[in-house]
Amino acid sequence: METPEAELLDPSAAMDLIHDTQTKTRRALDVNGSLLYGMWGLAWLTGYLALWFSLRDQHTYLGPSVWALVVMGVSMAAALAVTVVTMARAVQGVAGLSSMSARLYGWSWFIGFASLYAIVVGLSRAGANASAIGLLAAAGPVLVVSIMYLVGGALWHYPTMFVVGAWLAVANGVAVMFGVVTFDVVMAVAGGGGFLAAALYEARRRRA
Amino acid sequence: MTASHGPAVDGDLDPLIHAPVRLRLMVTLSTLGPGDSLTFPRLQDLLSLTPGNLITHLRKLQDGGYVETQKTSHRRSQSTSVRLTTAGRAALDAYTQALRAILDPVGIPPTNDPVSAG
Repeated sequence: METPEAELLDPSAAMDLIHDTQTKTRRALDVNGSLLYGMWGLAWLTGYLALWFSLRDQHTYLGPSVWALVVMGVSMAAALAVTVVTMARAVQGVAGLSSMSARLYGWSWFIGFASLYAIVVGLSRAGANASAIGLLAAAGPVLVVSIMYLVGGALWHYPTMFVVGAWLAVANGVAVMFGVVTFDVVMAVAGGGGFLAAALYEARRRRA
Repeated sequence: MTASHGPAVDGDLDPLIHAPVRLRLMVTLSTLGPGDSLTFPRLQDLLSLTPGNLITHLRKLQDGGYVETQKTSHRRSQSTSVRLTTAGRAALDAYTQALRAILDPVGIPPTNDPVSAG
């Protein structure tokens, strides 16, 4: 015997069901942008402030202290861990073309940073002075991040992500003019602040 | 675009899609990008269905050519993933159009004759 399911569904209920299902599925498969931007905002704020505190009294540039690098490393690792777990949960069970491009996108971050590391080492071997290397080591990662955000925003139609990328690119260009010490405090405020602003915007948009 | 010229009625709706569980199933799969699939457990989780219920409806949609399943093995664990076929995506589009026509017959613009009197 066939169950009379069709009779239970009138056209307007069907339309509501379509919209509800779309909203619910999109929300389940999408990542919570405000959480991720918030985590990265706090990480940038904490990490770059730590670097700045360890540099600001150096009359001749020696580079950040070990504890400042540890604070930076732990902040970034924490934000990265939250990002990876959140994304893995969202895309769990999804396979096909889009998960392939997401995987390649993930590798692009790694390749970009590895290449930058090689450039820093190469410049150092070529005899560049400490503050020039320090400046590249500071601005280089921000350049990689900003390009990855611009590309990610463009690929997946995330306007917020694109705007964050553009903002970081501009902030990087400005901060680098202030020299290797002030760079860090500018990046803490502008970079960290930019991520936190994006987090607030995404939280509002999600509630709407 | 339907061949019938009369007012849109419930009978125009694809019976394979016009059932709560199958409609939710089709819409959930259509939310993915073209060519993307969902594993059986995740689909079950998203739809809050029992495995038996999901299999029953999946089979109907599969027989109609709207979805296809694929067995994949990943790190020794076997899983089945489900995706919408091109025909399935088209059928869902047609179903949604038909639904709109029923709900808002006036809102459908006349195709060739912009001055058709009511």
